[in-house]
Amino acid sequence: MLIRVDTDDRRPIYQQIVDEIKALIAGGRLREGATLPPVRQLAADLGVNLNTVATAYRELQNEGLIAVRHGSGAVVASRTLNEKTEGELRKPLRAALTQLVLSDIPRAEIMKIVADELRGLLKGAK
Amino acid sequence: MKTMTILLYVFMSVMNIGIVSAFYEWMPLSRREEAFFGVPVGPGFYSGEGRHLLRRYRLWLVAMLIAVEAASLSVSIYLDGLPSVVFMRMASSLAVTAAAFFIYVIFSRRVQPFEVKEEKRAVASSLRLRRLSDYTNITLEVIVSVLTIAPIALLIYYYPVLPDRIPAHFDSRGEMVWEAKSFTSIFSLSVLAIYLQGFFLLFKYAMLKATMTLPAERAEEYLDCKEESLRLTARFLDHFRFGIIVLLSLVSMEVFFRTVERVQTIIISSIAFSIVAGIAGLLLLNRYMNRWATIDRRLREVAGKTYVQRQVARWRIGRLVYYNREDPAVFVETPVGPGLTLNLARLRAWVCLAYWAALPLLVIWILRIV
Repeated sequence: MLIRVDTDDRRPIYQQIVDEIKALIAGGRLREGATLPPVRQLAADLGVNLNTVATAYRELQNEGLIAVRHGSGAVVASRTLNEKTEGELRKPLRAALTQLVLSDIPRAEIMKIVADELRGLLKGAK
Repeated sequence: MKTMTILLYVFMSVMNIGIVSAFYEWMPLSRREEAFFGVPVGPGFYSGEGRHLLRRYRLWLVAMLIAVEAASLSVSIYLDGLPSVVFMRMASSLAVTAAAFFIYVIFSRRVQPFEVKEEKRAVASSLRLRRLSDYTNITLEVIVSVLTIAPIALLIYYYPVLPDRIPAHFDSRGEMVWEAKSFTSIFSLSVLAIYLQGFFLLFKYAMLKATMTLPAERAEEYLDCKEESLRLTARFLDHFRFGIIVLLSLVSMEVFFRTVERVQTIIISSIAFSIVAGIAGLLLLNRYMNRWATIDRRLREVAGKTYVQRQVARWRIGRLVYYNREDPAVFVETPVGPGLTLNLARLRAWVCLAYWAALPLLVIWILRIV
């Protein structure tokens, strides 16, 4: 069970950590009650600042996915995000699809990419 | 100084040179071209000009070590007396290590212009929490605890019946030296045994808490190898602690064996046991070293490396010293050497260093020089 970060990626490091952990939770590889390493350990292993990982954990906690226990890491609290409107959930999807359309990828190909990503994400989920 | 003492000193000097030079010869090559003197270099340099540099390094290393030991022996002969011999022995061990370190740093700086910068910036991390308890053999810990406490309990129980003068150690003439019964003379080795248990447990904890940065590609396979290496090293440290406590328990009990009549016959069997344990220990060490070499080979096959470079600019003094205030890690994987070092920007690192550095002071106290 790994998370990957890339300094060449446009996204901030903390966002990459958030997205990686969310993907693991969505894919069922991190189940409710599973323990995440302490901020210090994860920051040390990735070679990033403590505050970067702390920010990532805080965002995940605000979204209701994890519960942070000071000094001993965090626990996956739920596989469900805190209540969001459909409009809020559609925004990131619209942005990603816009990128694909602007890359001149045919519609059928875009549908295939979306299906593949969804299949990969939900492989381990119940 | 007696001839036997001189010969013993020369023997210990040769051993010291052998051990230190073997270690410092292994260090530049421990990770091959990934970290040649701590610097990542190209294969061409490593097998070409790097070899010439290595030859010069070895010559300087051995020459310097011999010079230091020769000077130390000369001073010991001039000063004479067992306490000065012991002091000079300890001083020369430190001087030899310092000299080897100095030579290593000089040659490391010569390699730095040939550094190959790593382009990939993607890394991975396992989300697994590494706890000391997951790498602990409860049965072994119970046995080690019993072997640590039992001699102390026995010595406390029999303390009143021990004679006022007890056998302490052998002098330079090979004769037994008798000392007055005291806390130091009876319990010093037991104190050392407890200290060494803490020493190696702290080292085991450091190893488990050290950073484990993984390459983004083939991270799972790399992690499997690293995890296997961690478990192997944890087992090695546990077996080593077990061996140390067996040895120290027997030696600390020697005053008891030699002075309480009904158990004097145990002396011979304890000596025999110690010899057998020593041989078994060497065979076990050989087995561990082969296993580590196998894991290193698998790491190279899987990821082309045994180590993920990070925070290069924060390494100092031949890439042996790490100081980084922004890095929360206390224990960090090194490019060279034993594979682990301290982040000197963290207070906990200095606490660990202080504990480990207390060993020479403890040895001085045990030898009762001061």
